[in-house]
Amino acid sequence: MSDSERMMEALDARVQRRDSRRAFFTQAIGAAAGATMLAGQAAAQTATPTPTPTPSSTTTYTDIDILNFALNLEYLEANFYSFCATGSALGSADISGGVGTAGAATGGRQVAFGGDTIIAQYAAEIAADELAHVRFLRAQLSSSTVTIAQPAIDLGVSATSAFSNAARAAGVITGASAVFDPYASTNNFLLAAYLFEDLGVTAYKGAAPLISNKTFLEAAAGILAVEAYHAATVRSLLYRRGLQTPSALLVESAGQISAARDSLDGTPTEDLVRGIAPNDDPGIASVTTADGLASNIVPANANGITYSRNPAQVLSIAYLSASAATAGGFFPAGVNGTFKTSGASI
Amino acid sequence: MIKDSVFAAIEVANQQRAARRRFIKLAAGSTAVAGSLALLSACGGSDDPSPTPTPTPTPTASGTGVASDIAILQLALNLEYLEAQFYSIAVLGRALPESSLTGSVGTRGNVTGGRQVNFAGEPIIGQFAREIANDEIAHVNALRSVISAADPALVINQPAINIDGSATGAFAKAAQAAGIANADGTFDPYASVDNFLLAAFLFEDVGVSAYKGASPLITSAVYLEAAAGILAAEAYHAGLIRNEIYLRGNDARLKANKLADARDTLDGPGVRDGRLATVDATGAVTGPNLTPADSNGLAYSRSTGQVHNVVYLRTDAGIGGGFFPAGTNNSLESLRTSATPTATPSPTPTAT
Repeated sequence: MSDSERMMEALDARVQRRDSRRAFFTQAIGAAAGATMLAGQAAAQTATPTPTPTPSSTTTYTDIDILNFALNLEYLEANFYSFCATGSALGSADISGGVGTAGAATGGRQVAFGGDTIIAQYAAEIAADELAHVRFLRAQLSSSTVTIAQPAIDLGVSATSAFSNAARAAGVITGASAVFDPYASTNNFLLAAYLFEDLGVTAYKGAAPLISNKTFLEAAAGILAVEAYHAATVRSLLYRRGLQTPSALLVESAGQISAARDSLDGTPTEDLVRGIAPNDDPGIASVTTADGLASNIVPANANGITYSRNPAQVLSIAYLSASAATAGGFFPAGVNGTFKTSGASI
Repeated sequence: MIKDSVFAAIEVANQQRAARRRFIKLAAGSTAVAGSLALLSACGGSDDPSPTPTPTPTPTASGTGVASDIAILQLALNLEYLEAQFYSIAVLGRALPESSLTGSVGTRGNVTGGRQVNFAGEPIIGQFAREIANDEIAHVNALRSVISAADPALVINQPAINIDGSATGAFAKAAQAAGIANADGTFDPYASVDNFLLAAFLFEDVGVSAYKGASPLITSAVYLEAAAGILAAEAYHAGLIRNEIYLRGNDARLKANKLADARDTLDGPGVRDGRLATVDATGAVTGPNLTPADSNGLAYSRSTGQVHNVVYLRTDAGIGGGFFPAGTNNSLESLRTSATPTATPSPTPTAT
């Protein structure tokens, strides 16, 4: 089954959701608890204790495993933004490693930002941040004997590229020959960035409790924060531009991408304190509250806590495969390191 | 920011990133709270910041370590009280209900200042503001619930909060320190959307740095994951606010720069803050700096003391001032206290 078919299947398996994050939580929590959590009721409500479940981790991973897993994601993001901002992939000095199979990042090019000078500047800043993350993680790993090589990364724009398959499965494009080209316009760039940034936030958040070394933990929290800054920028720009030009369907497309991610990553049991949920990916459509419309820039649960994804969930999205797979989507030969398999733990 | 400060407080205890850390696992229960901070700071041992990842398994949420974690959550709750009241009053036109404000630890204070901002001319920013307000209110209630679930007697009262824009109010003092108001001038966050955004800017990045700084001090994996989720929400807010200010043009950008500089001055030597815009030698804006991060692309940390320096608007060690005239509330006295200017851990981990 192709990536696209797998993703379509996953999407078909669920009801397309456009509900607001909070209305949506109302269902997830259950009517009794949920009724108190509506956004408009600003205050006194108790915030759903759901106290302290025991974190489940029967498998022990080393910090090296986790840093390498993160490095795969940073290779993906850094190459994407590097193409977008400069037209080039990362240099050879930033991608070598002694673990796994080395591959190239292919298919990207500089974005045609047109008159959107500020967004072009943002892209350059994000590119610099992501490259810094690659270099930081590589420096922490310190030795080529434990550092993963960059795996093959598909950033292309053919009808069967990862971007096109993702966009087709989400419903942003339709038809087997249709292409989604993130480099063709500012709007397409923002949608592609949207696909990656929230994923990074959930990945770092889900990995945080797995990290043993406190220095690494704090550093990971720093990367998590930066990814969230990026994500907020992208989400708020998409929202503003979507309202200004409704025909561009940016709010709708972002919602479709979120729904696709949400389908791919399975349905873990709700945990309102840790920020785990079966439906963990709200789009950017506004919600109606008693105080008026509220935006949806922060993908968070009723407690205002953003979501976690475990590595298998993250890989399901990166591979565009809801089921267990070791390659696909943006990583056609799979990621390198210990965490390789998508979907397995869901 | 409040969240951030909790984390940052933890860091103050450590004093140096280098001292990082084996956590002392304190027995659960309120009696264990007193004095535990000293233990935290004393437990420096294996602080090798360089890459020696140890393969120990994930910590469990149960058992030891709860008491010190709760003090961190209390610190975060102070910051959330501040943010939630500011946004709730400014955006929704009402303060939080009493049931969200009372507790058993510390003195119950009132809110001074604040009124509803008119977003009629800028409905999209009104939507953003309502979202942030609701998130911050949710954070207050979530933290109260989590603390209460551990021990209902450890929920802190809302401390006295000053969010006044008059010449003697905390916002005006911050603006005076930043040089965006005259020495005895006012800064009214409620008078315009521009001012509201700048006031939000003042808070949000501090929250991020506080939660990040506190992250390594949390021993419970569950609390850590929850805190990481609040940290991320604050960073989303901060990114949103920074983008909106940047889009408004150079006047707003330069004012935000001054506020960032003021925060960085308040918390002592070392860089723990990032301006919104880059400027050239003449002071003219040359481009955006949407994400405040170091050369490794990491957001900054503040210790608990440094967070208090910012919210107390004071550069010396002490309890109270600025946005918390009577200080924050906490079972641990040390987590109410701002840092001395000499207590300056290097701001970011090195990559070597």
